[in-house]
Amino acid sequence: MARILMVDDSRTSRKILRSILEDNGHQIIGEAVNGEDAVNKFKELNPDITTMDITMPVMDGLEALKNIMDIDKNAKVVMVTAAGQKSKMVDAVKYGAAEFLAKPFESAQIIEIINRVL
Amino acid sequence: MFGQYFGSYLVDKNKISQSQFDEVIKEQQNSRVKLGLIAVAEKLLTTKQAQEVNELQKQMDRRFGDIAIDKGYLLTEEVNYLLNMQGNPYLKFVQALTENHIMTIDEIEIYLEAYKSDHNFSDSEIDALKSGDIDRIIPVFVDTDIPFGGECISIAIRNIVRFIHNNIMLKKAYMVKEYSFGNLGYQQVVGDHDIFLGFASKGDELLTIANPFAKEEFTEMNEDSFDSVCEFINCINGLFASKLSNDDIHIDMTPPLFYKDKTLASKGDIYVVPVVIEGKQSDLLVVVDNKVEIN
Repeated sequence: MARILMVDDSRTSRKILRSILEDNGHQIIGEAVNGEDAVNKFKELNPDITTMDITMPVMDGLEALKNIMDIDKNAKVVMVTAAGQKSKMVDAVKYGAAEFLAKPFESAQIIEIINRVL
Repeated sequence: MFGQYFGSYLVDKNKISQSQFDEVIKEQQNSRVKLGLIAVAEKLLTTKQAQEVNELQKQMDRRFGDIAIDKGYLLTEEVNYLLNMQGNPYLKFVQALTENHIMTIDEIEIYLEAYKSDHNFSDSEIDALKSGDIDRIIPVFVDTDIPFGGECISIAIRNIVRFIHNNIMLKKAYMVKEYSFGNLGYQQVVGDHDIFLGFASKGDELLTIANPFAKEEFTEMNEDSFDSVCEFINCINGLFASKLSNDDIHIDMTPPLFYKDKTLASKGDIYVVPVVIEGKQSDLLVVVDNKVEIN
């Protein structure tokens, strides 16, 4: 079981992901709706895993990833991407992303990736 | 899916009532078409021959196809062909109409010809509609040769069928320079090409997209239901971006947005594809490589 911080500006996306993760025994310890919010919640909650959307207003997921890795170089951040964001995925790897989850969400894929990262 | 197109036409022509249409659509979802009806529709048996085989079948524990072969009415290959067609949506619709004594197969044939003629459909377009195959149906209503727009629209429609509703009805796409809406959710992608993709409706018809995607029961278009529509658009654009990246074309997605009661304008063409879901029309809007304004 992982304690997970979920970051996504879309309420729908958060709801779908929460449902899949909770159904598989994981605990959502917090939600954030943009990168800035994510960095603050990460400091506050110290999650096992952070799921991080890339395209968000205020501060995007890549910037938030960089900030989080500066705070904790061992942080496990799983980037959530719509398919096709290849160039951003390359940047995310450079900044230290642990894994990628693709939208639209596939339950089996999510669980496999979260368990692998954990 | 064919039932949605042809059935709506029959309702418009007052040949069947709306309640008969609703009942037939519901019934065809779970039905399996009888071999005799397919054989008549495919003109491999006459109605009289099919009735004769049906009567014989009542008297013996044998399959329709085997009896028809014994009688010399059908070849083994023809029976196999008919068995392959049992899931065909057109035939399911025909069966639901005939078994409920709403129309005879001859009447259906007459109205099908009129439907084809009224809409200027070619034989191959009618065959595409009958097939229920969305990849064959899309080009009947959309010019899929529009650079980038055609592929983007096709991906959007395929994903409506995949995530929203498997029984949609498309109407002929058209182009405008201005489009007024009650509700609009959209996303712009930028990079090697700039593409605007949105879903719009006059009233709350967008709920037919918002509710199934979020698996919720929103009752009005508000921040939450728009979020669902916008997230669906985000997934479509992601799949489109993925396809383009295979051709070394790179685009980035910007955060989706939504508006109420405004007008979308572009100096270029706004492609409008009407999509009817559960009887309610939303419009898929696409603009390629042209700026848009919303006022």
